[in-house]
Amino acid sequence: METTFKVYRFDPENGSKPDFATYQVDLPDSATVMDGLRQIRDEQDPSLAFRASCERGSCGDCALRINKKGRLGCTLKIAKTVKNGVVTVEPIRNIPVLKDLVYDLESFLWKKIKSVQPWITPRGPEPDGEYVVAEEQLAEVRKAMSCIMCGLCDEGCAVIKIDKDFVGPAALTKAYRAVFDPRDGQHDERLTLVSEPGGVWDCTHCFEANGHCPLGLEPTDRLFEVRDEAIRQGIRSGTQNPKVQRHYDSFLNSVKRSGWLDEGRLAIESEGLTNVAGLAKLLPTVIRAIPKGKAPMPYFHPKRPGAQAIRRIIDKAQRSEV
Amino acid sequence: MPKYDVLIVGGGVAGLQAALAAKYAGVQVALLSKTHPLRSHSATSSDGLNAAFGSDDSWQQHAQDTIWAGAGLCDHAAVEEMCRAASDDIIRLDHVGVPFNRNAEGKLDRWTLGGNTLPRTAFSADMTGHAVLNTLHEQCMREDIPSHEEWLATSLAVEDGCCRGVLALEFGTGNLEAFSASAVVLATGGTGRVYAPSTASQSCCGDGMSLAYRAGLSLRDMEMVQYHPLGFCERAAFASEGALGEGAVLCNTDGQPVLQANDQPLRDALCRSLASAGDGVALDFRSLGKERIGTRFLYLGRAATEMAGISLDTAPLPVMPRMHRVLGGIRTDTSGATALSGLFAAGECASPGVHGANALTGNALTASVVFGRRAGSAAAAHASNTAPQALTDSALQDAQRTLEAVFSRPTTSGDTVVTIQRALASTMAEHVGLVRDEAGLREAVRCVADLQARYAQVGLRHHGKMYNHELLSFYELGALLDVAGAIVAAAQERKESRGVHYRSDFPATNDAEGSYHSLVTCGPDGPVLTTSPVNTGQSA
Repeated sequence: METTFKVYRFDPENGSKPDFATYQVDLPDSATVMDGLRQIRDEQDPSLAFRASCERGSCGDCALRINKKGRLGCTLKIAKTVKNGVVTVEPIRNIPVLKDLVYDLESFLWKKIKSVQPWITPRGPEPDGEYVVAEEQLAEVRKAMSCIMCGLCDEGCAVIKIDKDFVGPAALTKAYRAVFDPRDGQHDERLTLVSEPGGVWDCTHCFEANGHCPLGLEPTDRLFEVRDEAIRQGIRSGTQNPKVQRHYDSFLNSVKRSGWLDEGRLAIESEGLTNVAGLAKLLPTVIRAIPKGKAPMPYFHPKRPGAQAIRRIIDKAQRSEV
Repeated sequence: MPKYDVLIVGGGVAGLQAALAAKYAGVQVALLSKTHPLRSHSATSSDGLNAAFGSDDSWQQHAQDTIWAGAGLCDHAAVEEMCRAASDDIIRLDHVGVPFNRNAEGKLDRWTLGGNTLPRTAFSADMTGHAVLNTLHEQCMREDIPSHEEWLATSLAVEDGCCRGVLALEFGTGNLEAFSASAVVLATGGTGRVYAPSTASQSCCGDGMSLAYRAGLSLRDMEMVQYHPLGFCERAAFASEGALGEGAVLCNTDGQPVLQANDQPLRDALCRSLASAGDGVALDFRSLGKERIGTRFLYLGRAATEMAGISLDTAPLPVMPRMHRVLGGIRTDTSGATALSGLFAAGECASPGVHGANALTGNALTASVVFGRRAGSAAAAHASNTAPQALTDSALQDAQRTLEAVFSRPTTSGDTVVTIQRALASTMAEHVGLVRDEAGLREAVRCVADLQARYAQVGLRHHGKMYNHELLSFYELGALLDVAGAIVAAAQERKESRGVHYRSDFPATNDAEGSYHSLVTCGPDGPVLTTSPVNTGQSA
């Protein structure tokens, strides 16, 4: 099968700007995108740089953006992705590129994974033999642990795009592995850690991570489960993060009062009613929003129909939590 | 110049075990790895870890099975060491978080793999290597062990008869650097890319074997090249042999079972049997049902769909034997020590003597776990008793001059690193494969020598410094040629069939003349073969 490869090229050594180079490859129908890149490097242009290791979707080394989607180059067949005879290959997004298709995972992924301290610390004295654990308790941990750290969920994450400090779905999937491992002794400490700013509460529920995971591990759902577990343990919003706590309380109180979210109240109370500097930071946004009718008066939010029923539901839920 | 007490070269399971053991011993340890540790070939290991658990099994029975599989070439002391330690090491892995599958009582579930008389293989679905690698990496993060990633060790720094560190190339910059260490552990993995096709990752180039070989050390039992019976037909992936224990059936083109019910032969016999059955053998999972496939074969289910276009619950997966690993390697004792003071080795690059002529399925990862830990401990002890010595500048200067000389070679011959590597891998598959004979081996010797000569002249087309893959491949090809020379020399000398080494011109086992370890060292005119007796005594 003859295919045109359009490949992102960037070489800081020669000072040129990033650009695409075009190559023709001829490979069997069963060939993968990685086979194509290798043929280019081996037979046409030895300067092309990319990473590849296991060649079978086990190691995550070859995550690339292929025809505008984050994919593993070693398992994606050319025949499955080619469009009008062309395969376009780029580095994944939102990440510093080092050379061609080689990018810097250090700050993007590895440091973030370490930041959630995803190592098991045995709770109490270890048993003489293995821990006696029901298979059902470990099955999902095992599945989460099958993550190959390709970084494609982070590549698709809508928050990381604008906030590089968000630890992201890959690190939080790793956190899930530790949080739900019954052998771990740092359960609450880790939940507190990932509830800090930049952690689980910074996810905006876009579900892009689920769509981008090549293994179908549903990182967004796992992140939500970590949140739920934090709430169950009374670590609702991070014990060291009063702003998130205030945000959480204001959100709840607003919905409980009117059945709607009072966004003005939420902004003010999240900053803190006595936090003059924080409130001052809101002013430019308020000034821009008023002429566009986007700044309704806080605390005078009209109640929505059925607000009483919503209040009763919340009261009941809170009583059952207690 | 970075300085450590212990430097671990290689970030797979054996390397991480060694790093943790050295750290727990209280010395300053660092990793140096060609890839990020989580990209290591260990991630592909699917069968699990053998160890004797429970009252129905014993380390002695495990040892007996291992020795039987090894066809007379296992060193009994090494086997005993591994089998005695395996259960404690695996329990330790459980304590730090490997999500091993559980049985109905919540204890470790076990697979029965070929050659094992009992179910003794602990597993984490069919991703045990991946799970162990990730768990050990977590613990290395916890211990804050420094990690130099995307560095290739290009030579050992040997001064006054001692290994004092390594010279290494950083891919990202193209710079050479000297790493000083009182002890070095080679855990660089296997050398599968000396064959094509194989199950090897791109990184499996025999780097550590070559480093030791060039430093004058012996490579042991290199003729023992194991194939994996359940390789994919078109990709490097393979199915876990746990599939056979779970009830998957190997069928021929007519859909008839290739094996008798409950028959799980040793890997060498199974591979030869499948090879003689020809094309069209397939592994049929349909009797397992979708749910069991989904929970026990997390990796294979996905891999079969993506790479073979097969849904395991609806159609059999075509399989074929693929070259899997060399069972031999750098000769070590049971602590991982080599004959060079300060140098240790563990994992697939090493030969402590447990595999003999045919590794018992499920023992490979166990050997990496046990001997990785032991090598790390022994290296730490050595470093603690050795006064640190700074490396002289001359080693680095020599390495830099060598590198400059490579870059200055002309490229006019039309030969490239790639063409030589391809010729080498196809030669090895054709002449030094599952079935060998004198004529083929003689041809292989000639080809490898010819390729060595071409390698000595080949130039590089790309002269950039950053991520110059052609330069990396140049070093890797040098290692592969060293390894190939050792394999061919040892295979030609062994005029019998034993374990994975099958010769059609000498189909019988000859215990009178064949009960020896081959030892290949680097001579001025090529590989030099000697032998050593097999240690059939128990450890003290």
